[in-house]
Amino acid sequence: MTEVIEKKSSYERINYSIRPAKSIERKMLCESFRKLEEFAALETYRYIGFGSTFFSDFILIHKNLGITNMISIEKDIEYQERFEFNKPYKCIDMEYGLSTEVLPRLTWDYKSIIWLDYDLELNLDILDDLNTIFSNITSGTMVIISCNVNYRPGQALNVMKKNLQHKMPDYLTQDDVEGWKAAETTRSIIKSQISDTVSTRNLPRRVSNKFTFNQLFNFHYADGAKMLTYGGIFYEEGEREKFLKCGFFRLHYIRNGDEAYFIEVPSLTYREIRKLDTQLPNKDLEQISLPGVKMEDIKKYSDNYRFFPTFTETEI
Amino acid sequence: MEHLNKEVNAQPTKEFFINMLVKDIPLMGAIQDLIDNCVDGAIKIRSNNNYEGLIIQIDFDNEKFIIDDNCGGFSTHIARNYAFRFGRPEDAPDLPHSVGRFGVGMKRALFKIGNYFTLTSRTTESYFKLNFDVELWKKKIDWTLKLDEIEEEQQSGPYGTRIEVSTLNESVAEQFVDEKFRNTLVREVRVSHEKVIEKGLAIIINEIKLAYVPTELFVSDDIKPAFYEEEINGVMMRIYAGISKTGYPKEAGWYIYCNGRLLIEANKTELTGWGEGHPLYHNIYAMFRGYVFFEASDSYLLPWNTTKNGIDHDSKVYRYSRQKMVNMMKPVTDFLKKIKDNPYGEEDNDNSEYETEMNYTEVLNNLPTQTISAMNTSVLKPQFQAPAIKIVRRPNTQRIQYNKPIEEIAMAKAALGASSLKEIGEKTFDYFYRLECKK
Repeated sequence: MTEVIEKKSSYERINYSIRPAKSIERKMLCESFRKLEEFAALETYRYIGFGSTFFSDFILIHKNLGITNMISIEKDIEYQERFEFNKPYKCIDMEYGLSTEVLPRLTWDYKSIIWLDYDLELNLDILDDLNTIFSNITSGTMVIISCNVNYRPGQALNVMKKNLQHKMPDYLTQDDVEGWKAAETTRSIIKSQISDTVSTRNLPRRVSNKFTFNQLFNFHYADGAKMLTYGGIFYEEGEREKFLKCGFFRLHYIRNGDEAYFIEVPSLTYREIRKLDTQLPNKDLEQISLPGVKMEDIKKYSDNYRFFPTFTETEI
Repeated sequence: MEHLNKEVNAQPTKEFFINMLVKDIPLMGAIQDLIDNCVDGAIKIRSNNNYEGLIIQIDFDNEKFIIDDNCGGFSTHIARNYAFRFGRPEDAPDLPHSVGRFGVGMKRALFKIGNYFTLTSRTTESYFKLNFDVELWKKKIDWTLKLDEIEEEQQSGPYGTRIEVSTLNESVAEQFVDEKFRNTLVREVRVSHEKVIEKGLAIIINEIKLAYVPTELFVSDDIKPAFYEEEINGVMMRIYAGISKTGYPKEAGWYIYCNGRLLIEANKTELTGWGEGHPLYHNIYAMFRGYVFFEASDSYLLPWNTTKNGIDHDSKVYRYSRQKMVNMMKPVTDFLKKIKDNPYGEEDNDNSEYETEMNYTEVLNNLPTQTISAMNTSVLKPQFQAPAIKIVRRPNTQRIQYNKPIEEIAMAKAALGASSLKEIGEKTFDYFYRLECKK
């Protein structure tokens, strides 16, 4: 039975818009994209993503950032009518095929925001996609990769070896990939692929023209399966000033090192949420009172309250 | 000779030196080196790249080897100071766009072939003749040679160099009469020097004139090869990736040239990205052709190895271009993979869930092709251009195949009123199914 379920795309299994951590992450990413304005006017950017049937990221980005040059890569080539029907805006171009097929045939003249939200574990195709992306993108481009880091206990090492073959670092042991450590290891493999591609691309370039990739995102969350979102900004050394001006580090969820930002969603009622909101923001959480709710949950809520999703059942 | 006190004799013996020098070079490569020198001469005297009228003639049998050209020759000054040195002195004059630059090619080649050679060379201003007896030279202590004839005054043409090697080494003499060796040499020289042959240089090996066989890629409104060019620290890199008409797997892959000389032919290994950044080679990619041309006036900058029979895959220039190559080949091979997914094609993929909506291979065979040199690169993009192939789910069917005696088939055909074997098969199956399976 599980076999059957796993073969389906995640959109067939779950409605994206009700995954709370994913929804928080999406809004955080969107907020940080706004800071790219230092590199170029946001409306000149291109967005590339996997819109699926829900297009949640496309809707958010189009509405909030005004980006109109949008490409949704869709691997399900069979039900194209369904994607066309669900496409929320005219400005979204559908590209059917696997990302490994679509990415190499794109032209790369635009600064882009690329968020490839894979529902799979890290594999060779994803590393190939990273290679394609990083050997082509222009300075000021943001690249984000999400992938599944949920392995069955004791199985992670074998599954990763199978998925990554010769790109699997030899020195890894089961200990390095158990539980959330799988996310750390996945991140380091992604990082090394990116740095490999970028340094090859830098070979003929002078120091002031060399490209850099600066990590900004290292989200860990689990709406069900454990997920990793890794990403950052790619720019030419000559544009370092612009990068610094963006002020990404003023955002509390930005992480440029090994440490992850865990997106945790406490279970609260609407009444509780409204009560908490009236007391936020607040530097001293001790001052916040809510009958019977653990401090831990109050802390989790206060970290994400600006991005917190509210779901209600409606009959449209 | 007795040396005083602290001095130690570390001079090489000539015997050792010669052995080391010829150890790593195959005979084929040695002859290629000699030809490279002639080609360099041609490039030098014809800066317009038109080599009409220039001839390199090679003749060999089990007794002698002769290479004779009218590609300008080299002067007594070059002969005295540079041509016979081992290794190129730093003050040696530069040869822009040359293919032979390491200063060992000619000597190494001659040592490989035989023990006695005569070299004559005539330029507009000088003529000389040199007889070189290798055995005698080995016995001498000093490393100098003597020109046997010199004329240092205005000369009348043709201007060129002639080298004759007599007293061949035994294994060389054997190879020279081997038909297979000759054929391989002709083929290798032809492909290596395709670019100069195309521009009129005549190369004749044992009376066989090497012909220019152009490689053609599909170019039309529908299909255009990918093209990318960039100057990388003094090296001009041009890359083409597309598909050719002939799908011989042996010819598929990447071709890499340095200053017009082919170094890597039909490569399908990790060197060019197969299995490293791109999926491994498979025969469905038989129509793939990729060409990389590196050009530099200072040939030292080019990414070739010292024997010039391969690429220095650690070089920055090459590692950089490899990344481009991998990017450019993906859409081409992706397209080939799709057009091969024929519904009930003869070969593979019978297990695929999907198939192409139409058979594009037939369309393709009627499209025009062009040679690389004839292509107008201004209409090409860094991305391969081809029509989108629509993929649909394969109907949920399977094929049944069997043989039956011809007379029985003829009778069944008549009884069914069928017009084809396919129809006989379908109707007999339907008949059985209707009577025995249908509920």
